[in-house]
Amino acid sequence: MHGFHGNYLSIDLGDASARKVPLPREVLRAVLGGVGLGSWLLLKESGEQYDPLAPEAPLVVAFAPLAGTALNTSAKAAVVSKSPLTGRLNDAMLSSGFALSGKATGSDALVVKGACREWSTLFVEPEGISLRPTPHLTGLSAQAGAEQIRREWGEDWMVLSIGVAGENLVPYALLSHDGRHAGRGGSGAVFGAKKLKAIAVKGGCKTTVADEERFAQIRARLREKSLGHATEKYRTTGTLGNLLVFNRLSVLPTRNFQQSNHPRAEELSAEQLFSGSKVSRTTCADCMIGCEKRLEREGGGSVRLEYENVFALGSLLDIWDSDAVLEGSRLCDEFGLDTITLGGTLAFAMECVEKGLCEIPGMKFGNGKILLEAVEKIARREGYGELLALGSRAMARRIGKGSEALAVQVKGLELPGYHPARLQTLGLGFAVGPRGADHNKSSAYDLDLSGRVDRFGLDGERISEMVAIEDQAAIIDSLILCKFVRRALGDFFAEAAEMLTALTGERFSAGELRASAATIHDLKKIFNQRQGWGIDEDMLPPRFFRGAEQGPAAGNGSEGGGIEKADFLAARQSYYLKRGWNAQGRLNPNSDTLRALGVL
Amino acid sequence: MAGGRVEEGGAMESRGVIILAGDFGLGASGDGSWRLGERDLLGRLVLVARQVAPAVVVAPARTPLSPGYVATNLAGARAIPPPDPAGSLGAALGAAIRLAGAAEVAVIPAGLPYLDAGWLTGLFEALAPAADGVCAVDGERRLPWLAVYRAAALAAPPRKGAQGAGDGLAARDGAAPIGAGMTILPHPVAPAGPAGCTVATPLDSAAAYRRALAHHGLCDSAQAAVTLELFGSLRIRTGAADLPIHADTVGRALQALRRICPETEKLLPPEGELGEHFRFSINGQTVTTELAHPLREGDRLILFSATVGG
Repeated sequence: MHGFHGNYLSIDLGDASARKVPLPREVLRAVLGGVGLGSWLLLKESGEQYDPLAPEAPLVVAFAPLAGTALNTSAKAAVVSKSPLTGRLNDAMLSSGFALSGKATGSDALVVKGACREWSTLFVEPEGISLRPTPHLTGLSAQAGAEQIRREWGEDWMVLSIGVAGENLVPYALLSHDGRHAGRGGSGAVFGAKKLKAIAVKGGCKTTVADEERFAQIRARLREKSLGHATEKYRTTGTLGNLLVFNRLSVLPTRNFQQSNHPRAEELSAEQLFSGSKVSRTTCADCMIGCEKRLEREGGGSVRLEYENVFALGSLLDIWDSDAVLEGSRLCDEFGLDTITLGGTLAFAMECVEKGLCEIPGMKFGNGKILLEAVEKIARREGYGELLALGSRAMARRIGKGSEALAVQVKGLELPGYHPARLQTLGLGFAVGPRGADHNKSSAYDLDLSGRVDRFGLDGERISEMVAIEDQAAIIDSLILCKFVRRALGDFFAEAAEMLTALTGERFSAGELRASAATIHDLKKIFNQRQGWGIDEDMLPPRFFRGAEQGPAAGNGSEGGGIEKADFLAARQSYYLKRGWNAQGRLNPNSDTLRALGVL
Repeated sequence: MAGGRVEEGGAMESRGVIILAGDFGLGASGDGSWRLGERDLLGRLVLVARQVAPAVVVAPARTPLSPGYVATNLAGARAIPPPDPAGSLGAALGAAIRLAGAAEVAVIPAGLPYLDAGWLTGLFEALAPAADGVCAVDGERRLPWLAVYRAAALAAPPRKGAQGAGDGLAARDGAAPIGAGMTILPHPVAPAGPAGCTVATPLDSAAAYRRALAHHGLCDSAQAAVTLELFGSLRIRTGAADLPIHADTVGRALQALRRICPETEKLLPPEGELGEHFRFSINGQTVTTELAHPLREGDRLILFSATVGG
């Protein structure tokens, strides 16, 4: 089937061996690539309730059928593993050259197991693998490590690497390639547990297209639509354009989600930061949107301007000094830490200190200096950094004293920059998400802000549309395309089917892709159930519910109000049933589709 | 002198000269006036004024404008230096009128609320009958909000006994004329007595101003005074965070935005559509995509990209 290589590379770091394992055509048709394939492979290669940092824990880098076709935004891959932060499936997306060169090694995925005897770099190319000791790279940032690898072994290697945080097994350490990250859930720590500093890839195995003429038309059409209104925001202000609008709509979380707007929000806004400053725009490979904005600094260098970074290290911590926030973001990149979890954990710590539940000198809302100090301490697990390195859920368990109510997380993954009491469909999406609170897997904010539903309430009627949005995200993550191009596609499933038909030479239909999306969600559910998932995990923190105005979890937005618990529970059940699971959210063990995929 | 009415959504007709006389909160270095959102008030007024007049003259009374500021913020306007000695609003206005040389001028003194071009046009229209001028007055502060005069009338010496911030321009309550043949509109909120209202915000001013004009049959009072809030590219491009406008529906608000800020044309959906890519929120609560959604006095309309998230 064009677009795929038809195999994955099974790698054992223990004995530096690799073998190609065929991938059945039926599996590729059912789950595609990226997250779909990665989830299937993780299930096949792992057992029950295992330690995500054990040598035998598998890490999957899954490439995608569209990678290598030059289709706009298709240079992406997925990194799928069990998260050391959540203990659940973690599917992180990765952009740019590594995704293209990885696929060009001749496999649809890399499954990495085992651990190196000493710190090493794994090199993968069509001819095979080599594992080279690189202890001299430890202590370097991901970027510096990658640059050194290319200096030593050739500029044509694309490198995915970890920083100091990953080396120290911080559960929210990330993987980086060329300044872009597979950010959430701690894949960097999984590398670290294997003493794997980096994976370097290169190759010449091209992605072939069955119907070049038809695919060229699709490519041209997407290119044209990608330069219109559908992507205008990303092209001009990037994601930071969200901040001031969210503040105005009372969606911007501040002070550990105690409030949902702030009079100083303008100080961190794109409208303010772009004014009078030099801002450059960069793009991933095979992308013409160019959402990444970098603020050029007076002393040299530049920092990324991303909404989630600025929210997590700014408004969430009540820090409005843009210099501190952007420097904090830069340090997170340098040390290799997920900004959202770091920000959420710091916010939790600040509120605990404020309420007298623990003592950490200087750990106060609004203290920009402590932010900058904390990033390095966490990455190195030094001093109070050892406690904060756990993440807010584990930290709360350690502190006790009722602090668990203040940890704003789902399944251990801290919430991103959307206040769930103000976007209640998204709030439900956070709760039921297999990865935890993830705005990219549930983009239900689109529905909440569409005008078609009441964003301050929850009802059963919106569940179908919510599931459809999740399903679209699952297929986008398996094709793979960037979600920022989603509005440039009209009838998404029909257009996706058209892409795959032209690419593979086999007929795909919209209905089949909807079924694939459901299958991918089932695969994640099976994995999580095998790792011990229970329905109590599909819940939002107490502060977002009505009645939380009092007590330690007080605070659910400056306009008051909150989610009605009964409505939430009813909507959650509707969601489970819509997904074909039982009322307690457990998978139907008699699915023919899943049996055919060999996972039941 | 060009004539004609302004058509809703249509091209602007030009009229005479508009003179912005006063300092509008200009800084000591002459490079920034009172702020209206991201953009300075004077810059915004020039933009509006240029839509209804072929020429705009900016005449500060005290602070000379820096060339850089004029080039960047007041494009299309002519700026003249303050009179000597500086400080006389009347002298600044006189110099500007001599420069303009037009039969009709509209004078906008300092302290004015934000304008919609439609109101300027309405005021020019009011000159057509016998009056030499029309002036709306802030009763409390005794300053004219807006005045439209015939140049000839302004060139005449002020009536003895007139008083105020500068010679020739002081306004008083009641039907006290300035110069020959002029009619002054008293403040509408307290038309019969001492001024009781404080004009605190541009929206208050705009609402009272609109009522004043409606009182004298100079505008259509059916449209609500609302504020349009802009974000992202719209704000960066227009320089305006808040735009007080008059609109009774979401669709009319979009039309007003197009009219007042023509630079937004390429960013907005086609006329008559909201499109897939924009949303409105009314007062930060309801989200709507209906162009016919009604607006009420004082509503704040948030225009944002439908491409949220990331």
